[in-house]
Amino acid sequence: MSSVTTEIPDDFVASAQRAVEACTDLSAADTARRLAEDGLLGVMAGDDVGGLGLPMPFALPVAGAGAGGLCAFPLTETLLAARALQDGHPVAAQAIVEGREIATIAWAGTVDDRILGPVAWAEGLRWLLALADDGTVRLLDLAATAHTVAPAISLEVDRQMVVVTLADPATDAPALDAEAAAALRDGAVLLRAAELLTGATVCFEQARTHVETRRQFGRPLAAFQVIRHDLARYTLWLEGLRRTLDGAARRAGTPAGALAARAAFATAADHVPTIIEGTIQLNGAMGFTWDLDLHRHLRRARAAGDVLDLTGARDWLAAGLIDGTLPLDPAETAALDTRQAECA
Amino acid sequence: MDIAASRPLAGDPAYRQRLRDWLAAELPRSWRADDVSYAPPSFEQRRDYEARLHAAGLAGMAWPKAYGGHGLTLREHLVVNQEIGRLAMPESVNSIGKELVGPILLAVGSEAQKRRHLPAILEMREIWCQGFSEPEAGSDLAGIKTRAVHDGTVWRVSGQKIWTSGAFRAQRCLLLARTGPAEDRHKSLSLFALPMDAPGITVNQMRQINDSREFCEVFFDEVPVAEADMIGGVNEGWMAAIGVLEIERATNRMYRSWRFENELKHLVAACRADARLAMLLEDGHYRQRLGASLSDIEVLKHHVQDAVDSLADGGKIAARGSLMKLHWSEAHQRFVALAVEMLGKAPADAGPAVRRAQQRFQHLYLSARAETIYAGTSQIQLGIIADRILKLSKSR
Repeated sequence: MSSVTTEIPDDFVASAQRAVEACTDLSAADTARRLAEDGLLGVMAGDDVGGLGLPMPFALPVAGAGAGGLCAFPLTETLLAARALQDGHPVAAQAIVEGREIATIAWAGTVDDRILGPVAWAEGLRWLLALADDGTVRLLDLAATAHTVAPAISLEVDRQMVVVTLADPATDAPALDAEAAAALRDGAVLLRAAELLTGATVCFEQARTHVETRRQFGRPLAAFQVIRHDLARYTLWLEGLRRTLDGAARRAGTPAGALAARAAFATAADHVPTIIEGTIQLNGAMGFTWDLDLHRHLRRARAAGDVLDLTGARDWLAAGLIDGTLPLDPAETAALDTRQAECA
Repeated sequence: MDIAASRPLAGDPAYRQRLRDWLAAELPRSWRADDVSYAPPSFEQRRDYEARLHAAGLAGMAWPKAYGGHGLTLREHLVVNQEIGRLAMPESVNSIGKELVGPILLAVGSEAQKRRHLPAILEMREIWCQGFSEPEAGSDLAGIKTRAVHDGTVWRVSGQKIWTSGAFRAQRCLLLARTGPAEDRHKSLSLFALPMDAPGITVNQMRQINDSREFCEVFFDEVPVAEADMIGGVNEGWMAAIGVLEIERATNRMYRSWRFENELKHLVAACRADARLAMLLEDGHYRQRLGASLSDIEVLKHHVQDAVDSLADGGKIAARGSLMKLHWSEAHQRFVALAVEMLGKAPADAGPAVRRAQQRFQHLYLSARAETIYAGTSQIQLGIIADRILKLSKSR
């Protein structure tokens, strides 16, 4: 139950976790440099910009490590920005991959509205990718863009969440067209689901250990049926999410992958807060203290729904179902899997 | 035509197309629950249709050819189930035979039993029922009291089974009976292929909440069963069958994801057919719930794919079948409740498409109450996950 995905070797997952742990208490700039040295920031970016050029499944454990380690750095946004910018803005992409410059992405608000956020932030951040009303994405160089930054009202305590207000609507050319913007969002949905899964898994394992060792009424808490059933139900949700995430990652970049990614995110956003709330309950009064990190994971999980719209994910699924535009024919999925197997 | 006779299969789009063509030609529109002309087929029509499904290569996919199967793999089984699931076709009248008895016989049956029963099941000459549950032993099967005693010549079965679907028309019963001391619990249970025309059997049909009368209570009074009809050894058959049942929990009725999706599409189509219901498709509340149902189906599909990949690669399913069973049964209940709620908002003069959907989903809503009870209740599945996946302590 420790890995966010069954697709990737354990040693890769473990090294990502170690790299994130090593960044605890480092500044944003030092974190960027450290993660870059370990190759994590460019895991999906091509080698032209200094990246590893690995497929999406390899990004899942990296995003997961960031969430599991309660990393303050906007890691998921960095992974996505580096890949998205590699063709149109290779200089910026390379600087991001090498940890010399920091990027983030605003998933809410548009450059036409001028109010963006909440945004996962970092001190010294230079690049901000933001949506426009026409469905494209603009790249804002904050060093050259008049703006103000204010703290967002957020449950999150580990990451700095802000609202960015632009002095003027952005008028420069889009960095990503609508199709590339949609792909960016598909990737974000997937990586956010991986973050949620990892956070929930960390809390679940902590609670599992607790109920095995804590004795009340002369026996371990784990011996009580009501507690066994709680943990079994959390396992049901986590394992369903893990399998869907695996499938979504394997099919990333395709319509079937986008469908699975939305399903994974909707499942994660539905169940992960409930799981973490349950693990707080299972820990009793200690669960209500800062001695345990459970509440920090809960804060992050709840904030994920603000940063990336849960209702939007479910509505995306409903719209595709009603319009008949989703790739639900198993023949399409089978053909896709066959092509991917041949490529592999 | 036997579609399974040519290779390669699972990865070949032409194979899937042949399946589609056969189903399109051979499944009458009036048998499809999502068609306005729906008129359910009789038992005899369903039985004959299932026999033709097998002859055409759409049943017994992974069973050996020597026993009437097509000698293929779970991957072809999956493709067939996807195509069957996409159509709202009638449920099998011999699912116990095909999905429970067959795999158990393949694992622990004698050669003679395999040769006798397996082709008969696929050809629909033998319809089976399942004699496991008793009035005092539903989830706790180790507590059954029906006893089989050897009289020197044959086994004599006495006792009562209940909730035995289709017993009134079955030729055989997969019977679980006690053949040793009751205190030995699971270790004194044996399995039998009991002929339902043997003397001493009384079958009473029971009315179910969906108005079907499939459920039966079956009484056994010194019913003779030949030694050759014991499956596995004395006090051994059940323990051996448990491993098979774990796999079955993950692989039986594999079409469910795609049938579930067919139902979801039917609901949307019915809503589109009526102006008032069509407004619900624009309502944020219902869109959220439709999206959640589709999300549930995606999760189920990934459970299925994971199970097929694991088994095809020589792995084991073990208790993971409980995850799948628990997920689909609860998700399906949520969905059919949504469907009934939405269709309940139709005007009284709604057209035939809406009325057909209302009838289908009202029936499904009631029938789905059984889904979290049969094949191990949700509570049993949670217990299995806690015991076998999480391995949580039980001791004091």
